[in-house]
Amino acid sequence: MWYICFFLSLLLAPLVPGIINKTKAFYAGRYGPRLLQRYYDIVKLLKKGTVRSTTSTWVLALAPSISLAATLTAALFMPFAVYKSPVSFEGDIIVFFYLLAAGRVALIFGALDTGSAFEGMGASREAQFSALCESIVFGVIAFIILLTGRLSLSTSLIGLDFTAWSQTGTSLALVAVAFFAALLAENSRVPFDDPETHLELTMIHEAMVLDNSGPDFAFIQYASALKLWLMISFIVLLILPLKATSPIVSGLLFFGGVFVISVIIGIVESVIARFRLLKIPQVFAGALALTLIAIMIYMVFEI
Amino acid sequence: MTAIPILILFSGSLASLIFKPRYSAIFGCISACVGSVAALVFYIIKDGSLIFSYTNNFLEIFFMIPIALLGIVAAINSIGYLKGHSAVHVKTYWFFFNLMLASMFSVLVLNAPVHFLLAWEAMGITSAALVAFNFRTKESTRATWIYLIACHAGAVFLILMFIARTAVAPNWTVIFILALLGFGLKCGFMGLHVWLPEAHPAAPSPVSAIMSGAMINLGFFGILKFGINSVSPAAAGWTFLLLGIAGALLGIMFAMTQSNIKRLLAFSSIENMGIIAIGMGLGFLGLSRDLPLIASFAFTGAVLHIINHALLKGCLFLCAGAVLKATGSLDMDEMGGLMKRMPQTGTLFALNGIGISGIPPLNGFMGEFFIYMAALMGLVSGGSIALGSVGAAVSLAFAGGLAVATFSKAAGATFLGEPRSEIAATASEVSPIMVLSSASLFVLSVCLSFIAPLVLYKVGAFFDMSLFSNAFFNIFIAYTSFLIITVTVLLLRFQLLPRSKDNIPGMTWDCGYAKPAARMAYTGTAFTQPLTNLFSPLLQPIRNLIKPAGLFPGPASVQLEVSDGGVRFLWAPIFDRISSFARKIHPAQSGRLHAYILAMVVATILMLAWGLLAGQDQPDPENDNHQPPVIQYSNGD
Repeated sequence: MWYICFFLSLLLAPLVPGIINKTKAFYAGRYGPRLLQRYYDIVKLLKKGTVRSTTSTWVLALAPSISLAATLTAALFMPFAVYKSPVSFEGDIIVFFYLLAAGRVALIFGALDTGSAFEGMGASREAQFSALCESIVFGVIAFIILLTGRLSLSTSLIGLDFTAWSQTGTSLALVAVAFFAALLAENSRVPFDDPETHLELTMIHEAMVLDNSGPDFAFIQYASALKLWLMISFIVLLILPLKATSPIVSGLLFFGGVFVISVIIGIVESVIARFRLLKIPQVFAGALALTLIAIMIYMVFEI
Repeated sequence: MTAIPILILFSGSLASLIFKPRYSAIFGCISACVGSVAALVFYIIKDGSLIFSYTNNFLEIFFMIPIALLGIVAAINSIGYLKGHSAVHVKTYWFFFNLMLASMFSVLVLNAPVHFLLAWEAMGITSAALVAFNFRTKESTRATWIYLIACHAGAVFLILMFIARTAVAPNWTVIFILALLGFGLKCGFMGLHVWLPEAHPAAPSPVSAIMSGAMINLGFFGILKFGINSVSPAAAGWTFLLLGIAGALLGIMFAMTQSNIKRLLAFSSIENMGIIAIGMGLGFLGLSRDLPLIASFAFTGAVLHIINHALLKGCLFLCAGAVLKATGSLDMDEMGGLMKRMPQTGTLFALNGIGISGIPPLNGFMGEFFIYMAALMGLVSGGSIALGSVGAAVSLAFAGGLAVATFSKAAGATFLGEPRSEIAATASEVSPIMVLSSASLFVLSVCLSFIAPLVLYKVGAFFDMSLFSNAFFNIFIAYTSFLIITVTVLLLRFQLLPRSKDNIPGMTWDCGYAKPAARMAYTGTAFTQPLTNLFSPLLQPIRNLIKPAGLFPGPASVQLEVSDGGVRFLWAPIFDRISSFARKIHPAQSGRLHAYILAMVVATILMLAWGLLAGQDQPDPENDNHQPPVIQYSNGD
């Protein structure tokens, strides 16, 4: 069953940006791009050749592929619904997030390889925000491990059930909010970054990949969609006590959950404006504080 | 038998002084290599079975590995590095290089306190002589002074520590604090680190590689061997943990802001020493709570990270040496585009930089992984150790994120993009001997990254097989699947797609601007400027801003410099106080002979008076069955 879910996830990942965009379009009263637009983009890009700057070296040529490979490898450790990943082991939660980081590092190096001021700026901001995000994510991990006593992504995330919510609901809710903020930032969504903007100066992730084209850009598009899917899965498993239901229902709930979170991201993007760049670290500090408060609440009141 | 490697190194150092310059390089290099190989054979391989059995001299053998490996590689690299230097330079270099290696091995081999102190001092002085390699420049002189002062201040604390150890009832807390101060000066704990960012840039790169990869570790060796014997593990654990967190976070923050490539690497060494200290702290906390699983994971992580750091940082310093050799500068903002001109060095630097940021599957990850595991297991066990674990995990993650920023800046500003100056544009790849020697370190570290999961298996098998039976196997699967997926994706990208080989060379997107220049690209300083701003309360950057003024603005510029906070806010004020006090009592040193004689007479009279007064209440000599203190030196554990 895990394999079915895994391949379904690989297949459905580019749908998430489509859902988000449809939600935003609905809010704005537009038709918006098609639901499957990301698929069309990727297929079209894969058929094209590449334009690569003469400034660049092998770094830019390899970066998108390595970024995609790292994200795909990370996906191997993700549990889906109530199904454990077949390669899960105690401690894979660290490997998972470090593999995502590896994908990001490849893109940062690729961006610097072009020697462009825009991409340098994008890479600089990406490095800054991801460094701040990393500590939030590990705070969340610390909380989950504190809660479940297990060190692997599969066992700890699947281990959450109704009792977790009834006994530790407050702290769990705080952690979910903090992780949602980290999710938005790591996947360059509004209010941290705007994937739709066309002004290089204001972008982060999109500025970083300006000089990739053709199949390279398709890889980046797919890898970012997959990363978004994985982080959404993480938060769905964190929130939904899937353990309490039957396997089939849990599977449906899981995919339904991903859909709902995607819609929520769309709503958030519609109702919140982008934060000023200088304000973003304060949001991160707030999210980290939330996580640490959650850990304290758990250790003092709920243990 | 134990003396053979040291004797080889000694004779090599003498030979390199005696013979003609051309032969002295040959003798020096060969004896350094042979001596290190002999050390490997006599100390490490001969007792190799001991490495995983935690016997008495596990510590000594373990800390010898980085010295021997880096000794060989750095000696070979030096041949390329020293080309073009004068005969005197070459001769003295090899003399001190061999002596430094010999004294480092002696530090590990000798057990008696006096011998140990002598070897320790010799290590400091010989390496200071190498730091003074470019003794005609002002920076080098300053660096040598700071380094010598740090060495001797450390020695003072160590002498006090050894005296304290001879007491009948030693006060272990005092001994531990003295050891932390004395040895901490060597391994660069935050606050005591000031010599690192000065000495590393001044020293020749092969020497920096040895100092950073092998010598500063010896501080940990000293603390573990002499300082820790009967200190409560909880106290030691918290001390190490807090020192480690401070070192890791502040070290990498300062590293991030540097524009001198070797200063950046030196600050990054402080960070890595911090990570090792975090590992040891968690290990001692685990011991204090009788949680052997956590303790062994944490100590294994620290130990692995020492080796990883030696290999990766060694290679990074050698690459920095290659850059210096090729361009004559260490300022990253002057470089750019070196990847095209020095592809091998550039590739090595980039990969090692990613490795030391802890990104899998390179080997920097495994050491941190073990420490993370210890922290996460500490969480589960609850209590105060959980608090420490949250701190350790969050700060490790944060330091890891900043390390990514630091090393993408270092590699990006130096090797990627377009050259920003003439020296960078005309650089060319260094001699194969320099490239190969640094590449050999990288090959070793890649091998280690695939062997390291085996350590997990060993440690896991020690305790609870059910918990980690599949961990070793699955990490291997993770690495292998990463490799397979990467190869598949690359095949898809470069072979299978319909137009995968169509590559139209173009120019970098410039937003429609007609004449992009290298000066418009992001510099290293610009790259980390947002983070520098964010942490400016901690870093206190110095900003020189010349704004454009008037109706027809002239040239404008902005400079951002972050100097070492330890010097600026801790040591400079202290030394200023001392020197102003010294100036106040300076008049006493008048140069008049009769004034001195008067002072001596007064002092003698006072002492006589004191002796007479104090002598009255001395105990009766007959009751004094005072015995000489029993001197015991344990051999560490």
